[in-house]
Amino acid sequence: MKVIYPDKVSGVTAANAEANYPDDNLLDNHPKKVWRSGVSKSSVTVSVNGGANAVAFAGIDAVSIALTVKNSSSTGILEAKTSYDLKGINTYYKFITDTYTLYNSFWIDYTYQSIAHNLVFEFDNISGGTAEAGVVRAGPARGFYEPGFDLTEGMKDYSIIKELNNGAFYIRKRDIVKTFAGSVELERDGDFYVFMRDVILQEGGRPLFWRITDYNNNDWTVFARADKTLKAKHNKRKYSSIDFSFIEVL
Amino acid sequence: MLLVELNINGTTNYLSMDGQALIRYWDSKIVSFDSPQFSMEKKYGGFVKPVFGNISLFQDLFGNDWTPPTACQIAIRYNDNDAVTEESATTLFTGTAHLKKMDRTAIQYGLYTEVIGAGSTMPANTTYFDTPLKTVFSDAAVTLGLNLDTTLARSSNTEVDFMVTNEQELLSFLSDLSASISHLYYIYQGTLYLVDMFQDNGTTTITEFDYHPSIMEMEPSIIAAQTKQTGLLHSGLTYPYAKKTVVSLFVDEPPSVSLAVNHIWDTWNKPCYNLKMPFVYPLAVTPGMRIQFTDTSQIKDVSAYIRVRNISYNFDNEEIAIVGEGEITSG
Repeated sequence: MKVIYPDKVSGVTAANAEANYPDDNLLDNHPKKVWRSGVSKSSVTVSVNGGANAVAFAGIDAVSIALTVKNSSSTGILEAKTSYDLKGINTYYKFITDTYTLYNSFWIDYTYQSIAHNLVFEFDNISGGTAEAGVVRAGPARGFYEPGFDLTEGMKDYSIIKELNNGAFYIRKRDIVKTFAGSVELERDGDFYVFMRDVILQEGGRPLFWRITDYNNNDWTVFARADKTLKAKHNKRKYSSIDFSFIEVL
Repeated sequence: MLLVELNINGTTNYLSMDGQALIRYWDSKIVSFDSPQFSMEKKYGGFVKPVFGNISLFQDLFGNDWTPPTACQIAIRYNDNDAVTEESATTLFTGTAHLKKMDRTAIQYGLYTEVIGAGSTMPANTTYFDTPLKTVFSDAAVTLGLNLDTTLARSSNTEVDFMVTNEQELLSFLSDLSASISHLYYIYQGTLYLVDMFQDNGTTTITEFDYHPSIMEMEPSIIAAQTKQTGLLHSGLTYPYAKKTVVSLFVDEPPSVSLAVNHIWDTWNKPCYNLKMPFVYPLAVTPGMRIQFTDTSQIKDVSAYIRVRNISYNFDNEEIAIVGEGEITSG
């Protein structure tokens, strides 16, 4: 399991943006509040401070994307362009996408950069479509052991569903988000306090990009907040078990 | 979807309950929105008054305008179809939001719309003798600067015999007066509509797909009134256990007094439905409208109708509550 923390993004610049959907929308905590290019092909440059090796987007609408890692003036290439197909899951590129909800998320690992650099993305959507994305975060990917076999995935439905007089139902479909819960066992004098104090205690209920991995190397990328205050058990001599519960944000 | 335009210190902010990406992004900054209501002042008639309540907003909306301004211009719009554009949303309310309450989680503003009849009064010693109700309202409409529609007002037996002893706020006086003669009134787009409580202000029929399980209630009552000529007069003594309500009348002749008291009793003792419906807007519901429906969820089918008296729009649960008295029959 990984989390991008702390966020090292210092700014974003999009080549195209509709007036009501500026590129600054990529920096808030709301995937629904998108940057919208207004064209099917556009580029976004994400400026990142030193000390980062992962980037993630939420709320993306594109069929493919390409990433080139450049220096901070975008004059030199630090990592050659790699293209990704957003229409499916492709772990070969250490690229994780989850396209099963409206608010698609994906995660890309890249070579660790100790100095400030630019991530140059080329978005490509279907002809007539508009390339857009909701949130971007980049920073160090902090890794932890995978959750145990109690990992659960669910949904929270914000729809209004109410019985009518004849037994039928009035259904007003609204957003449905993903939830993940489980436990992770970490060495107390190590990752346990990184997880609890360096990340959760610092961020509280604010959302972060999590990459949740099971023992079969399936991955889920989700921009989520801790649904409730985390609780851990110091139930082994060197290890502690943390119960987590994450809910995707909108 | 609820769309709110709030002007904070010269900047228009576009807000919604859960974030809507339309022509522009309507940010999810609304914590809650009290149900706007149209509520009849008395159980048997009077002014059907609009009340817009409060809107609560997240604090971070005011991050660059701290502390929150005392008053902001606000427009509230609604569209029941998420797929359509924001321009086609219907305007529910325009007016002023005035700072009401602030706590650690939210900023609450009270909503105020155009004030009609401010400062207009019915002067003391104004005397009416055998004056038709429509005439009283006609004079009042001129004072209020409103047009008057009496299409559905009663044409006979509405003569007013009364002297105003103390100066009274005009809308309040009209409310008491119209209720005592079993009328309601409401104001819509510059026109005051005077409607007989026993007339249908339009008719609509709904099916059981259109409303949620609802409650019928009855409240037995004895209506009493005292006038110079008749003394104390009662209606409804058939139910001696009922609660007695004393009403004020603006008539004095014995037949008129008897008729007024009986009409009030008739209204009061009818079955009253609290009909809860899914949010469909614009729902063409007006005070006095007749809503007909059947209810097959009872042990035997019921046919019913009500006349609309109170309307409440609950945006949080997307539900409309309509209250009115009517009749129920088997089948």
